[in-house]
Amino acid sequence: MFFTPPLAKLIEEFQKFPGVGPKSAQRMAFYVLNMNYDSVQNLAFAITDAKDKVKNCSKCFHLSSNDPCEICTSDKRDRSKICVVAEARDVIALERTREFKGSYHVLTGLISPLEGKGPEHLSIRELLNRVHDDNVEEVILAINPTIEGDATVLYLNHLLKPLGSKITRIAFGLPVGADLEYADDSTLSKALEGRREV
Amino acid sequence: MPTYTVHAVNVGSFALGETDKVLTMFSAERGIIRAVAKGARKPGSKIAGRADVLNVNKLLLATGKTFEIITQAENLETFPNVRKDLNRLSYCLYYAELTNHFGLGLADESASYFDFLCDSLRAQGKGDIDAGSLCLVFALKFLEWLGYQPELDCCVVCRDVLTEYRIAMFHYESGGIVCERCTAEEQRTKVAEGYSKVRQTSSFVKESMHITPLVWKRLILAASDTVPTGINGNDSPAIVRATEAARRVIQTYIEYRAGKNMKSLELIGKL
Repeated sequence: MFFTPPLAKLIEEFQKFPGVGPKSAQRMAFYVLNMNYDSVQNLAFAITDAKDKVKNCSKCFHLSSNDPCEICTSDKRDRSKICVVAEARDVIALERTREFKGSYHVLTGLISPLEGKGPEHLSIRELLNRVHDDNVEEVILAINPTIEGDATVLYLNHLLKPLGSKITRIAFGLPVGADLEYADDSTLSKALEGRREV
Repeated sequence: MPTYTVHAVNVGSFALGETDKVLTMFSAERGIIRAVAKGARKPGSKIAGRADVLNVNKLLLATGKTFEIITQAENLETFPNVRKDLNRLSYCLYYAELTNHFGLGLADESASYFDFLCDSLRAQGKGDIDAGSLCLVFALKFLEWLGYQPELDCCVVCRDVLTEYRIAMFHYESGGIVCERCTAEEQRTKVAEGYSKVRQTSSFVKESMHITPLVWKRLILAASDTVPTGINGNDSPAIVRATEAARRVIQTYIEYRAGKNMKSLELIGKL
């Protein structure tokens, strides 16, 4: 035993974080031991407080300490447009742009046939209820252009089309500052497909 | 680090660390390879577009300790039409899942299997032939590659030549069809041994599936095709149902051999 049991336990717990190996866990544990007592208490309180208070909004499944969340209760939001995203962090990425003023719906994942993750694991039923009950005019699918993303978009399109709302998917193409020479075929063909008049 | 070039289809992937991805690929030169695509999960990554499942790439790999490391990647094929149809996408992912699971057994014939896999994905992308029929032809050919080709001409118990009047069961353990007489004989033996006919818990019954003469004929037809272009899509509903039943028989046989359920086709039933 190289570490005394409480320290070994702390290292073991840090190692459970994504992307944290034994060395990083040791570094973090020693950093915690060197912090003053108040800072350690604040850290512990922040962790338990976030865990206690942050929940999924019952309407849009975004993470929030209020239910319904701030976006769902805001009067400034256009409820006739729903932007569907895979994860709560995608909402934050879109909010950073300050371009979209509609509401969101977080699917809590994507359909992944290879991992056995089917539509029943996602909040698709709730999305269909929202589109039906709130008379939504446009559903914007802001979903990654991966195999899992494409499978989810095809499945959602199949279910949403009969409800009569306009269904759109965000454009794909070259990222800002990219080099055409290094772009792959599918990105370039998507960029050509989504070209627009200047 | 020594480097080498391969032509490979991506058949699986999982996340590694913060931004990396480990790709499982079936290559024409070395069969199954696992390689790290560094930074493939970053938004601006040059390799991200090549790291998706079902893409065919020409890659420069460096030998690593646990995994190979991708140093350069050139996209050869992406099968964009497959991504526009959920059924076809599911079948293509099924091909990838099968290749990922059984790929080590295909190392000796990797170049031929690589061409066959690319041709099969291309055929699904064309969209002129029913996706389930193509999948049946693929699955039978795949079993032939693995050495598990099912016996469809003779009874696997008595070795008598089968006719449409003598078809009874597809037996997974024996890897082929059992005739009516042998099935009846097996059931008589089990009843004599004290098994209730209602319970029917013998392994023979659990490891087999009843098939009709039409299903058997679809299996024979699909097995005779050397390239997945055989069965046309303008068949009667009875033929379509029989083809689907034949595909399920072969799917169950593959899952029996794999010892696990293939997940990629579960989505089709949910549509």
